[in-house]
Amino acid sequence: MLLLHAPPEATGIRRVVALFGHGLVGGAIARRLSASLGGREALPFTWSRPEGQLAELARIGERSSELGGPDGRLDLVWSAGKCGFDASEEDAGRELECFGRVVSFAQSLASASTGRLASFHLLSSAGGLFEGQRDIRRDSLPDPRRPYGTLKLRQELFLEGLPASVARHVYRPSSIYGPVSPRHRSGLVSTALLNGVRHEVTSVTGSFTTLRDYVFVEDVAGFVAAQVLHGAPRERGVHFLVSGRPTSIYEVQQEVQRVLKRRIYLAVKSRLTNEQDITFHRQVMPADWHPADLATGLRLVYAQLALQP
Amino acid sequence: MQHATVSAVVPVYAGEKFLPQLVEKLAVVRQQWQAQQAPLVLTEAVFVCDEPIDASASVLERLRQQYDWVKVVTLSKNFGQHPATIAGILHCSGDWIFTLDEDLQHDPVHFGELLRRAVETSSDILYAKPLESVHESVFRDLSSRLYKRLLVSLTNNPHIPQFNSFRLMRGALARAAASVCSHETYFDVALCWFSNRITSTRLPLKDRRFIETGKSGYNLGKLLSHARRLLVSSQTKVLRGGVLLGLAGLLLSVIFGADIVVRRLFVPGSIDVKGWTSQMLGTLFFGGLSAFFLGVCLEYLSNILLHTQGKPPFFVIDRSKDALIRSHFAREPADAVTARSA
Repeated sequence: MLLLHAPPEATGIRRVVALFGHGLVGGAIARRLSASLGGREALPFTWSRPEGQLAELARIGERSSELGGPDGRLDLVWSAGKCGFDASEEDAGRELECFGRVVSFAQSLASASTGRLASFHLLSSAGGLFEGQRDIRRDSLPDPRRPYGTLKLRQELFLEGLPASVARHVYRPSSIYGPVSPRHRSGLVSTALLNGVRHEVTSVTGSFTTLRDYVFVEDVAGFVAAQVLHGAPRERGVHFLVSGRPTSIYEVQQEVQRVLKRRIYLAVKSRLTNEQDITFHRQVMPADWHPADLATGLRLVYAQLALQP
Repeated sequence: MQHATVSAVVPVYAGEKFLPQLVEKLAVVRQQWQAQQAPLVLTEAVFVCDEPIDASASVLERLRQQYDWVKVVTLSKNFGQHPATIAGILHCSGDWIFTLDEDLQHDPVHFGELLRRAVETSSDILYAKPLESVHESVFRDLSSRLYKRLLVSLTNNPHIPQFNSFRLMRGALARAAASVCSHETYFDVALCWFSNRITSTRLPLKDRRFIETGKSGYNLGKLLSHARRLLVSSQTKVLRGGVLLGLAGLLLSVIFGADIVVRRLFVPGSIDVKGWTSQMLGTLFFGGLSAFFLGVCLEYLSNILLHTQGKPPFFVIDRSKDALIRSHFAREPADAVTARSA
């Protein structure tokens, strides 16, 4: 996990952001926050040793209060997660326990005696919550179909336990794509691009006509970072970070081919659960959210890929 | 209940006067299907603002606020009807997609009829065909027919006479075709790359704008541009004709050359002009050879073009939901659908 902090001269008050998880999305958020706040410090938060997590959280609390001082403001961002879409119930359960510990830690920070925690930001998953639904609108109800979706829904519900003084934001991004790295999971778009460069086959679980909604990681990071840095106190919000544009896997293939100027190879493995469409009505999008289209995002990912050694 | 979703796509350029009525008609179709408990839901109508020249954008904004199924996509500049249609298709998620003009020439009241016909014939693409003269002008309609016939003979695409902007397509197929289109691809030609199950059905279609004002959205320049894009998007017969012509020239030169050589050797007096034999042989042989290889190069170029334009080697389609719609329409007699449409 990372503690991102700024001296008072930069923001007026001492600000500390505790960011859990710096994979694809968390890493991008960290870069945005670092650019604004300046200071960055890594502290251990070990997934594989749940018994040590309480001690690690205590250390995070201590260090954040050292950095923030008595009047500092602390914001907490959860963009961590070991579980992917195909996670088992057992793995999802373990992750939820871990998240529960973090929420308890947040509650302790928000308690009357310290009252330092200003906001909690949770990266949820629109795909996990609304799997198999089309034309999802503001009044659509989450209906998870797998442990991953249930985990995300329960994580959102956990936030209800936070005191009213803490602003809380839940982000529900659709399928996120971004730069490829061996350190984190990659979705279809980035994998197809990378495999295309390497002339390798990309396996797709679903069908060519399956519709999904894709968003570029930098757009998501920019939106979350703006909420963390400039969000109003006690604010609550559920933000659908989606493009509102249904995109078939076939179209992804065409776009990747256009960017690479060569054919790519997709091998489709049919699995009924993965073939279901997930699409969103544009009315769910926040007013100040302007996602890049797939063609632009793909070119940006490709440009970053080309810069890698 | 399992159902098939339907989307409507309307490119908008000068529709200020017609859009409220068009949306009302779409709303009626939606309500009708709901009332009938049909396995069909008109989930969205995507209006693509192609830099309209009138107040269409503000009319659409009002309609969008009124109806939550109305979606508006705004293009950054005027791209033309086909690109706007493609953009609309790529913004919708229906199992079936209708495309129609903004000016009420294409009445949504026929949606049921078209869907019935599509599932009955297991079609992937269904075009509406005018029942009678569209423009009520003998010259305009005849020239349109001749123009299409000429393009069929040039491109070898028998579906061209059916092409119409009032179409019904399987959503997956339409999205796939739209995603392969480049700026020069003719959308209907791209559709033909994905299916041969293309049919048409006759409907009373009238180009009211042309009948009332004498003005058509298509002037000679636009028609020529359409023809050019259609030819460029198609694997044209002309190129193959060029190859054959070159080959014929080459063969002719060999036969004619053999004749000249024989005459030169055995009947030397029959050729008076000195050097004529070699001159003719050279001209015919190299002329034929050049024409042949030029044709071959153009054929390669045409293949590369189709490859870059995204002509697919195959495409997989799921027609399983047709049974659902078919059984619904089986309960509704054909004349009832038509009567309700009327």
